[in-house]
Amino acid sequence: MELRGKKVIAIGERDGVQATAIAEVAKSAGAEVLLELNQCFV
Amino acid sequence: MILGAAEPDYVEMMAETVTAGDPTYTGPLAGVSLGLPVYHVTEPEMKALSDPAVYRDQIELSELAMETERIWERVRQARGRTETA
Repeated sequence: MELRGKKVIAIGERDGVQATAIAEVAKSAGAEVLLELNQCFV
Repeated sequence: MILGAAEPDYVEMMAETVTAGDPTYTGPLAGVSLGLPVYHVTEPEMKALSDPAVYRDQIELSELAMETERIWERVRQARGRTETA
């Protein structure tokens, strides 16, 4: 698996890892984040 | 697609939705197989690729509260079904 140069959709969850955090991790691996959104399963 | 949900059931449902199609047949992706590569942010592959300092700051605390082994198992199953399709 390689993330550098890939386009990423980050789907976070309120009670898990939030999308902003996922996006930061993906960017640190060289990915381009296209969409960040959070879901809430309550 | 990178997921961050904490419950293995939710992770499986989301992973299934973006690979084989909506398993509940209630949304617009019912029967639509997107076949997107899907990972959970806590998986070892993600950790290995990311900047360790960013991962530590953004993920590690949340990861402690998750049943990561069960989450990884579910998302790998969904990924495996796409890879073999």
